[in-house]
Amino acid sequence: MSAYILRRILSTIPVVLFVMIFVFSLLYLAPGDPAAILAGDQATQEDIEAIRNQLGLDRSFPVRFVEWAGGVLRGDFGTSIFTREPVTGMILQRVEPTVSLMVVTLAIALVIAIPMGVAAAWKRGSLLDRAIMLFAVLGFSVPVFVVGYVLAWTLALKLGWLPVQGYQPIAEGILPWLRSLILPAATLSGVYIALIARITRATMLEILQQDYIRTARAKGAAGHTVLYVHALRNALVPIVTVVGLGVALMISGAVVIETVFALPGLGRLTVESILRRDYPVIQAIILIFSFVYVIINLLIDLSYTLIDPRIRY
Amino acid sequence: MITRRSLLGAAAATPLLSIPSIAQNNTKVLRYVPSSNLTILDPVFTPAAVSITHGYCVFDTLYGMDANLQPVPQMAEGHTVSDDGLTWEITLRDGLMFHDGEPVRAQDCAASLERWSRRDGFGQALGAATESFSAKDDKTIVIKLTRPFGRLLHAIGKPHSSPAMIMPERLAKTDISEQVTEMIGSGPFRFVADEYVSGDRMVYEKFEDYVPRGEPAAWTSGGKVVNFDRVIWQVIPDPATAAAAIQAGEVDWLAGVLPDLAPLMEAHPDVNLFRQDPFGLISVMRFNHLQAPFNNVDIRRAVLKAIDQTPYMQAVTADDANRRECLASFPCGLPGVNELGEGIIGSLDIEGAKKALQDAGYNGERVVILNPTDIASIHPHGLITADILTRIGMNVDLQDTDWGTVVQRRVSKEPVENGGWSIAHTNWPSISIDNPATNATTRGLGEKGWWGWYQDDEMEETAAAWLSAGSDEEAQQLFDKAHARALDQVPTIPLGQTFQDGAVRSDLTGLLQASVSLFWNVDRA
Repeated sequence: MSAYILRRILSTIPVVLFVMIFVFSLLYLAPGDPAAILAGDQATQEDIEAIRNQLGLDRSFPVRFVEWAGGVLRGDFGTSIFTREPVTGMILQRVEPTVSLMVVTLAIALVIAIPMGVAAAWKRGSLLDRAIMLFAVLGFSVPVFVVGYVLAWTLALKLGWLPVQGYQPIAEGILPWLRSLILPAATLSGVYIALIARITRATMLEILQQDYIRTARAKGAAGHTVLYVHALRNALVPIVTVVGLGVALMISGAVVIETVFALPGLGRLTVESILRRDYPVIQAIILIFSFVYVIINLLIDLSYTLIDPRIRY
Repeated sequence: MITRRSLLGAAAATPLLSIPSIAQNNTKVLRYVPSSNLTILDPVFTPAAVSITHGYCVFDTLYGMDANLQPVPQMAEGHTVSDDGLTWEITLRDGLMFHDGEPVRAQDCAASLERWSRRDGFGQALGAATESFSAKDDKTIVIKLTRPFGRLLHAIGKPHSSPAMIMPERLAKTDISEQVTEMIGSGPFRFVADEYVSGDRMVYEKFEDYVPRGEPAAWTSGGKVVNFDRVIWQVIPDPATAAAAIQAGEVDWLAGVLPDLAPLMEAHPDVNLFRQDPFGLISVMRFNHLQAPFNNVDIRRAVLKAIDQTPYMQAVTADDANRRECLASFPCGLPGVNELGEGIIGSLDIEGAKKALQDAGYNGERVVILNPTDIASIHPHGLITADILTRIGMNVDLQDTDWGTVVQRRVSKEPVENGGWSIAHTNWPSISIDNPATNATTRGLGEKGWWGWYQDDEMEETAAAWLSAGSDEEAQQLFDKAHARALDQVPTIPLGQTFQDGAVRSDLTGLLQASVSLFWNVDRA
């Protein structure tokens, strides 16, 4: 097991290296000049050249890459071209809202989606099953920003129950923190609920046909025991896999949700940095996201051994 | 006995007790939503409006503009000019302090003017006529000129696009291609650096040691009396969310409202629309003068014949009250601007333009229009221009891309075959192009000037003469001459004047009109 974990951790190194080279090359080749954006509309070619020189943007690709990669290996992501702040600090400022959004979204999604999927499988073909699947289709089909606007208009603007926008750090209290996250997390969880509910239903339908379920019923086990102890436990492996894969979905969704609800997270920082060509920030965020994605999938793989003792590494 | 459960419960409950609003109830806070994120803190380094708004909080200027857009003393007590007009002495008023507790000295002002004169267009014009900026003593700034510069106070008191803001000498010594990031000014607000999160919030606290002038506040001049303890800027990137936030009372002031949402704001009982800048924006079509076909003045004139400003303005505004046809190469309504373009601009003569184009010798050269799809106030202009040029028989290549790419590509002087361009659109705050020296769209500096690189020695001579003009009459005559020259040579085509409204909670009073939001004089009823 430890050898497997070590192997998996080591295997992230080439992935991260590839991402480093790929992202750096992509941004180097992409059109756009931060010096021209920085200089503003009135700037002359001379002004832009001076800024480009000051920022070191006129140096060659290998020189810039080696300097950046060396910094990354030392844990230094460089300095923002625009704000002149250390990128690490900018990212740390933005981590909490994004992580909070993801955690609350995941919690909402799991609490709602798994019982929905189980219920749909249990009552297969019923009105309840169809209603749940209709909800799942809507969850996939309606863009998150539309859901966001509708929820904000209803729950915040008309009913006044929740704030329209903004983020309260957890240090300012659990309740304000949670209040600021309910709307965005509920919005973002729509797709996730649909995804998990569908996979839960499909897996449960398959498992409910198994012999051991029939045996459990024959032994007189209660319905909920059959469902949650015998069936759901065995359905967890694909569900957990989908949850892991869905993290990528959540990261891309966070970009939109953080913009709609004005949450100062990494998603918004990514968009802002791309629009203004703030290369050091873009590179750092993509690198971190890819690393997080690799680690989450490692954790998912490891969780299989807890869910199903037959799985060994 | 402490159990695991009770310990966890206590830990979970602790943050609930620390809701900050209880502790901050006595603090008077103004919540403001800027029109874009504040990324560059140095208001001299960049002409961006949001940085200027920030700049007016933190910094002060020697001269400000009054309601008639005339320069009046702000940090200055007054000034004297030598008989030959070549030596200006500006005296500082008493009580000026920087936020770090140091007094403002003439040395700080001289260094700040020196740095500004290397960055700003008006400043560069002054710099070119200046032998030195220096300090006679701690209170007296001396500007020695090489030739008379009648518009000196207009230059150092300009209210927009890199105003001459005063910072401590040690910061003003920063190279102009580098940003100043330490925010120490002598303005009415102190920037709270610890709470700054670019992209989210900026916090300003009332600077208790600021001594306002006695005159009433107007534009960037007069008594800057602060009535709020804190001004918190909250960046809300989505306009619909920002509109919802002000309706819900979560914020007090939106710098800009999407035209489509303005009626919603107007109908809300607790929200009022507020026109911050009475002179608005001027949209322009800029030609690349280095490459064919627009290096030919007759082809530029032919295009001008076909242009009607109305569709350009209609595409970016929702109401007639937010647009004005301005038949001039300078912004209408500003001092010295006469609407000289009647019969020249806005004739919408497609057939005449077709013929003029043929007569001008147009050979079907490809016209590349750079069009940013992510800037709502510019994107429609590219579409309209492409349609008009196609109708008059030009070979149009409309290239939709993002703003970041446009600003890179438009500095390319190459032919279109090598990635160059022919036409790009932008807009300018009227106040920043209000005279022959500051109007980059008409200046003729060639390759050393604004992108498009229009070269016109006669225009430059006229602008220089305007700067040196001894009397208002002479200045007006030269202004009109520069204007007529621009209408004749068509370096740029003006596409109309548009006005954007902001929104404020109805209990706010004392809001000042200016080209950017100003937070002094504002109070809550």
